[in-house]
Amino acid sequence: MMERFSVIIVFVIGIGVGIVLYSNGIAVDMVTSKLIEPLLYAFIATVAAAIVFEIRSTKEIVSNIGLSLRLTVSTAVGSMVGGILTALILHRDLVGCLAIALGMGWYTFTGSYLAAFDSYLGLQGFTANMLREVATIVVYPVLSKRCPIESISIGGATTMDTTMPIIAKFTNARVALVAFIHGLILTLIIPVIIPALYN
Amino acid sequence: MGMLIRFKRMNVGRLINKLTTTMVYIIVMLMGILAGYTIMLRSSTAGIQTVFTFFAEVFLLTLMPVVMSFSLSLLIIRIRIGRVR
Repeated sequence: MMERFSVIIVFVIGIGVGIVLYSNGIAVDMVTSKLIEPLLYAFIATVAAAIVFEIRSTKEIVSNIGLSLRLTVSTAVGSMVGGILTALILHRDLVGCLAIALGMGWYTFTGSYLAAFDSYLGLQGFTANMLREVATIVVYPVLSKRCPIESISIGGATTMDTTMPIIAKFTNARVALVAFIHGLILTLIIPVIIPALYN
Repeated sequence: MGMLIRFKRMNVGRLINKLTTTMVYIIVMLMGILAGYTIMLRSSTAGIQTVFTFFAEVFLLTLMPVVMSFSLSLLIIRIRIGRVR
């Protein structure tokens, strides 16, 4: 739990540093965007390695794959519909809103990928997806009593790592495994969907 | 031999976890700097109104996908579109 807050604290410190740098007339937007890009690629590589090391038994995964797939489809389609509705309500760029919504909680990837094209869109992608993770941490313990499986979709891609402890704590091993597979599939498809949608 | 493989696997796994955690903080810090800079740049050129608009947009961009995903998963998993579990 403390780790979640430390990420938010680091982000707030970063905002403070950005404001101070702007006030002193130091332009950092281009440099920061350029720095984020290689870090992002390295990050994706480490996440891929982590996935390989976390998988222990393939038999267990196969038995819950059907339910996880249905859940993954509902999360992706729901996020897509959410993005379209937001674009319609706000009268904004549909593709941009879709790309942010389809980040499905993976804020480091969505934020930094979109920042390479438009810093404002990247900022929104980062903040909206970070809030989705925070929302999962706050909402899941309440919703898990009545709908433990269905509530996994709120977490999106974060259910395989960052929100996994919350899910495991409030439910059982089977739900945790479904959440892991759900998060794993989304983590694999997000780096394909967003660049295909916004390039 | 098995012990050695397990030991190597454990160490590499731990190293990857630490590397991922460290990189998350660096990326988050850089994103924060970019966020702070962009907010100031936008608010100075378009006014404080932009900042409020930004948060209103972010609120909707967070809420709508969450609500729609949850509703759709209720429909697909629980009700299974017509078939009650």
